[in-house]
Amino acid sequence: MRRWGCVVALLLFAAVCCAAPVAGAIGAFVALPTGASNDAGIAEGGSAADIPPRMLAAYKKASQQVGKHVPKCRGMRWPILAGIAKVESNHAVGRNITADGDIRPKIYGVLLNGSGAGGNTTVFEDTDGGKWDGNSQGERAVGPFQFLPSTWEGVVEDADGEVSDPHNADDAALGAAIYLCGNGRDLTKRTQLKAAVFRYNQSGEYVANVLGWIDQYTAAAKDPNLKNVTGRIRTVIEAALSQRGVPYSWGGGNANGKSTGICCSPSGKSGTNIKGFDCSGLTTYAYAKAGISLPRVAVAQAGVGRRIPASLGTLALKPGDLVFFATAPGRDATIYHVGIYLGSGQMVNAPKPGTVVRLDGVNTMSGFAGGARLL
Amino acid sequence: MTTPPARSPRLLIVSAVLLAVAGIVLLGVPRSQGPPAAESSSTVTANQASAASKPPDGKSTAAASVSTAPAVPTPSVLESALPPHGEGVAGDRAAQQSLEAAWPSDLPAADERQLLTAGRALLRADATGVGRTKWPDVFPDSDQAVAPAFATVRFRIQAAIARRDGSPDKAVVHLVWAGTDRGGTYTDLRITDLFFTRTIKKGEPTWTPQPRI
Repeated sequence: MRRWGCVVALLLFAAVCCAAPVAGAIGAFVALPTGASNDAGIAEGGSAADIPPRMLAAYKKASQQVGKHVPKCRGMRWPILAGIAKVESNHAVGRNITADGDIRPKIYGVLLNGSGAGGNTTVFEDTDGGKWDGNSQGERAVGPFQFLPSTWEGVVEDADGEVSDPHNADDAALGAAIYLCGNGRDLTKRTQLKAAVFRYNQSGEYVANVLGWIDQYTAAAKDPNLKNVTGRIRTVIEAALSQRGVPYSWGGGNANGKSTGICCSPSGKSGTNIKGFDCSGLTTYAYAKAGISLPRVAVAQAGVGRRIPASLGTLALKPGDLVFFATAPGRDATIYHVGIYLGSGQMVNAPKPGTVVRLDGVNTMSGFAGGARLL
Repeated sequence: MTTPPARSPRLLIVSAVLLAVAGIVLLGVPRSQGPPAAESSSTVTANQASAASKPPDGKSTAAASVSTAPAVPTPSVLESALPPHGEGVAGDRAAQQSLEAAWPSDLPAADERQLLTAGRALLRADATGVGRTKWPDVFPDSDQAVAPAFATVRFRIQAAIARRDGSPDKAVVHLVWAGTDRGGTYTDLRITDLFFTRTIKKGEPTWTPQPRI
């Protein structure tokens, strides 16, 4: 009887100790102001399959042809052109592209008249009389690669007249390749690739954005080679992939599968009526299928297994690794998201409220914080 | 109705001692979400934890039986620590608090304020083009027209901190922000580090931004 009394007392003590910090965390979330938002926040896509086939063909053709115009250029490849076009026009998605590569309706940027619309704050004088941008009173960028008409004229000269129309996918892609190659850059070198992209738009954030997409398309183009993934790693991946389409639920999911979540995310999104997974609920379930019990939240999962530091880059990841994202990579307390790496730059994850379990590109999200290898 | 038997004084003493011992032990256990050290040391910690958890047979304790997990986890256990993507301004406060907790302040308050003001303005200038003329050394072509890389609409700095960067005369402003690029893709929780050095201008110490590319 006495023995049982001690056990009960210890259990009560342990329960209080364990609950205290968690209750504090809940309190902090409850205290936050709430507000609905439709912001997605995550860039979707990131593989060749997400690019209109005619556009992809133009990128590949241009990367092969550019050597004819800039013989000293090294390392031009289609993911570089895809990275630029993704950021400039989202690959002309939603437009009609003829077999000859003509894009209709034509793509025009905001009129650069310093009005502040679209963020433009300085006046561009008209240079083409409206020939390319359809406006003789001012200037605006044109086509899928968003050339300024004045820049395009220079590219036409560099291409010995082999390109003519910035609204044509093939011409624009080749023009962009020539422009990026400059006087003969070696784009296999990161510093020169950065310089090339910076020339396209002199903004450090523009460069970071484009490089993220280039890395993503590059990784996605590699063979995932999941044929060689066997045993418990395969079990983990298959378990996670089997849940594709299951809705995100804030606080949802456990070792047994999907479950209803809790209330609420900072913006007030509740999981109480949704049977599904949040990011760490999905990983908990998938690893449980392989007999591994994970801590429940993403930041704690980063403390399990062999840590793969962010400084090694995404190329250090192997299929089955946990992959983390943080607001301050290197400081694990700021980890807010976790997924399971599949290879080829892809991960399976429960991204955010309002989405479903799906594949996302690792390099399309900012804040890569390394991985963890448990198997 | 009978009354429950009175508790033995000896049992209460034993319980009190055990509770005290357990409390001391728990106080010595590091909290998983406490302020971490720099990247290298946090990695070591993770590796050490991993190595320490290995039983004599070499198998990781992570490979524990699934049955050890609670069948019905309590909601408090399920609470995610930080907001995910897409939370809007409602998630910004949590992001700011997380940064401040994980990366403790180490600069004089006046320096921190100056750096944060400069860092915010510099990021906005770089991403949207607005205000580049204030930074002629960083944007030497700022008198020329700028095609903004990110739209001013929906551009938002979600969280920001300024910290020392290795020496008293170097600092980094770490920013978390959201914006829409030229192709219309909106992303949040974007991360930018802007680096500054302390220089003397007109006899006064000031923080000067370093080139990014």
